[in-house]
Amino acid sequence: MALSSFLNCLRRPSFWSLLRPLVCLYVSREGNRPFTLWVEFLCWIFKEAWKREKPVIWTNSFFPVEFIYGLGAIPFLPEIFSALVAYFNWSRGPISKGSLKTSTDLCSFYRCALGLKEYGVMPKPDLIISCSQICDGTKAFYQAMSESLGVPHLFVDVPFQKGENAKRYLKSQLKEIFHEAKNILGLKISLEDLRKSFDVAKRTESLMREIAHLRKSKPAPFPGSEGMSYVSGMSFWSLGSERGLAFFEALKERIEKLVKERRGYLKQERFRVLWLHHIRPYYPNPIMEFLKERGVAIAYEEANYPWWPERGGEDPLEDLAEKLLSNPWYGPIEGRLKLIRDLVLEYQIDGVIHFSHWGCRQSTGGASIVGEMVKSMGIPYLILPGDGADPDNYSPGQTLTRLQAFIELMERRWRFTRE
Amino acid sequence: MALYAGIDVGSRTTKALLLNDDGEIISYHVLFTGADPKGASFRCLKECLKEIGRSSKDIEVIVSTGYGRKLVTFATKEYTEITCHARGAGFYFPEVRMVIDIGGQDSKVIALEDGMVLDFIMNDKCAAGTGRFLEVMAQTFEMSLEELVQEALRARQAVPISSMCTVFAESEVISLITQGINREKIVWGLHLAIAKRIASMVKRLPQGKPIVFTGGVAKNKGMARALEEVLGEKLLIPPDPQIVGALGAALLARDLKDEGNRLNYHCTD
Amino acid sequence: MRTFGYCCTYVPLEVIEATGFEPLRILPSSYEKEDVLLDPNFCPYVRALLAYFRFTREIVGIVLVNSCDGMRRLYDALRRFSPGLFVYFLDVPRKSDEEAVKYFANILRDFSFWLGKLNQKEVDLEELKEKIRVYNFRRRAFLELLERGPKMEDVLRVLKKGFPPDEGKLLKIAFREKKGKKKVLISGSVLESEEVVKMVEDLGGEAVFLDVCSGVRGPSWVEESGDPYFNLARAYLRKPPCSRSFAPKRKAILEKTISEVEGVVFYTPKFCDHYLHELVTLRELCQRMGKPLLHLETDYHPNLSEIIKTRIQAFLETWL
Repeated sequence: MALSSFLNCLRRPSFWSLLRPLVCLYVSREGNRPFTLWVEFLCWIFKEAWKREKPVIWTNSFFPVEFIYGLGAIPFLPEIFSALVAYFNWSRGPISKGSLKTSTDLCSFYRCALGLKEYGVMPKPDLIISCSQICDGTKAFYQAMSESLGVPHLFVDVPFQKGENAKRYLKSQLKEIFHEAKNILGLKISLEDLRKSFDVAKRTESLMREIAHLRKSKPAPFPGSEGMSYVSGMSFWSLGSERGLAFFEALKERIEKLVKERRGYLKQERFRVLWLHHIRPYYPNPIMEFLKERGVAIAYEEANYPWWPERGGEDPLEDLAEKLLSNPWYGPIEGRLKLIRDLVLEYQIDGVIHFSHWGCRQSTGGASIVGEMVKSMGIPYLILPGDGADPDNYSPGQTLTRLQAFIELMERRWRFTRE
Repeated sequence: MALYAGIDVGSRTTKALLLNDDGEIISYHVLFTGADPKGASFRCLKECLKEIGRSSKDIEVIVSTGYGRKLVTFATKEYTEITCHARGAGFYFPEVRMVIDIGGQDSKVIALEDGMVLDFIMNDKCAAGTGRFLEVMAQTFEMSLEELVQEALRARQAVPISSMCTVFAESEVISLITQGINREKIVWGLHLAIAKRIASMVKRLPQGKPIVFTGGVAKNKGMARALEEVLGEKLLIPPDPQIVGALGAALLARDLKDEGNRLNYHCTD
Repeated sequence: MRTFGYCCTYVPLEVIEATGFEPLRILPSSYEKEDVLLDPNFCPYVRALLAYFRFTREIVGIVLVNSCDGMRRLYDALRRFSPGLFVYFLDVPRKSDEEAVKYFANILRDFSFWLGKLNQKEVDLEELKEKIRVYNFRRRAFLELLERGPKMEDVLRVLKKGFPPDEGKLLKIAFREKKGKKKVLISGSVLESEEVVKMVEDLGGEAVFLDVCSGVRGPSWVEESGDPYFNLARAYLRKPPCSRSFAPKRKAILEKTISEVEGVVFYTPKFCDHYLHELVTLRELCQRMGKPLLHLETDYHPNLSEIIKTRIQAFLETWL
């Protein structure tokens, strides 16, 4: 009874309008303006999505969301929503529901989203637009959702190859989905209308690039745990919107101040670690505290590598095609190896942790190859198996033992090289 | 004379060991952990002291390790089994480059150089590749573990066991038995299956010799032979492989003495 | 003749043959699986392939398709750890409209020239067209045979060597008994052992459709006049789609097929994301249409394990 009334609340735009000032008031006491803007953004998205004055489009994380804003629609990202649900420790129920429909071998974010769909807490889309990046699960999930909800699905098949042949194929698809979306949603727009949100996206990307550069300083000014949560969330969900731009401006300001004052987020930074794979366990868990207590800073994370190419094109679709084709995680592993090598060198990394999320074959399949490269650079490497969204698939003893052993390894190396 | 203690609290057994100032092993004891790891670690240490007629006041530093290490609240410091097994193996074989530790519930492989851990792999998610696998199989054959080992040592050939999982391997074994396949071959096949699991962990790490085999399962001669066959290397086995973790912890305790760490309080007698 | 390996029915074998290679479908028959580079919770077929390529030098090279995350990582692993093996990554589009056909035609042209260089043979368009004609002839003969109700166990055994099979192999196919048998759809991805089909057929089922990668998943016809690369691209992209492709019509095809059978056996290797997601739709369809569904997840074994045999037997005894 209580659950269904709670779920009904979540479906009301008024709930999100009321929630926003309350939470922001609470959060703003901490003086963390970017975090406040994140909360505001979420409340705004949910309010608008449930209000249904604008079309609601479901999309996947790696689809350039500026396209959706350009259409004048509200984007909703079930994958990020699942991560949020996990953050509030509410993911067990949806994951059980979702697992019943398929198998526990699938990524828990998709099982969570399957379950959330059953609960009806995600605003029903008018359209689904997704792309094939960066894993099989994303294509299959949205296809299944489209069939189940009876909603049209516009899919962008991003080629594996680069070059003119690929760009032409990709551009033709982008043009097609633009016109299809226009027809389906009855929009009176032209391709030029995309330019506004695309420009905002590019300006935001510049800010993100500057932030990435600022975070190279020692001691690490900003915790990687937050980089992988709301910062990454904003980069997927808000890119192309004015609110997104404001968020990254505020974040840059905050980090600039910390860097100027030479303030690290740890009292004593002993080791700098690079966290690989875009996610971390989002449900309440002691991993981040454990690392913090031992002076291990997550100086940077793979999730926020500034990969977008500089583009200043005339043709917005050409721009978008170029962006999609530069995704380093989609394609032969050399793209990922290069970015990891760059990050290790530029952020003065002492150790690399690869979070191997259960069910994520695109990343874990390459973990050993990445490891060979990292170890050849003389840097300690740890594969940390775990689950990003399912707290029942988390073993604290085993996880913390591995982390502790890794830290002991780094300590003894440091001591040895000093003597 | 001052004493240094290492306590290894595993899920099955707890081991405690005492070293003197010269780094010599004075006494050690093993008992079942049961449901009270903290109590077990305390009792285990007391038994060690009783054997040599000393009191806890003589212990300068205590280091705990194993899954229950945090429960040993009277320890000065705790280290993971990785660091402790590496240190303990080095006591017997200073040139050690790799340690294979197979316990009742987990297994690990550690790559070392000059006594320093380079890299490690743990298997604590799956019974296949641990002592538990052999226990389940012994039950399937309605034999004791010793009888199973003897069976393995007698075999000249093996039948391959392919299952990834202990539970499925059990079904596979039962179907092989019903097909009338020679028991020795099945048992030897099982030992080789574990050895192959361990070998795949070994191959992920920087290779080096000599390889030291520790943990309770190292006492199983059949397992040692299977590993040697699969790895193509002779293994070095310490006199009592089960206490290597506790030994390493005690050595680390003695190392801490040099860093001026003193015991904050005595555990009550 | 030198052999060149392939793993997926989206690879136009005509192209391989036209450059003087003999195409060989790689279905490893050993229990060995890669466990150093890849974790146990990874596609067992890919792990079996990686283990196979560590040791074999029977073939000159292999063409991998952009079918799934497993194949993409296999491509990365093979390039690093199997030196001396030539690997081509065929970027097959997930769509089949004219733009996708154009894209794929260029990819096939590139593949053809790469093979030609490897085999030191000039690519001859006329030879390729001839191969297409030969294959069309075989396709026609095979599809005619399918109409007459062959034993699917024999069909699968023959198809494991490649589709379409040459006429000589067709003679090895017997015909199935249809009277009093319940129709079964066998759907899934890589079906490495025809024992599954044999069991179904021996225990009272009639395997009428083999919607599997090693089954009847080739195009029925390739246009013979015009640019052969375009024709191949068009025909192969528009053949009966598997779950990996973006083909909204696949659900309708499945629905129609399920309506014509009495039960469904869904056979996939463990950890196959495409098919585990499709399971959601398949379960819904079967439930709605009141047809029993057996989901078998396997570890890619060359021989069927006892566990799988028991489940198939129980399914057939209870449901059909």
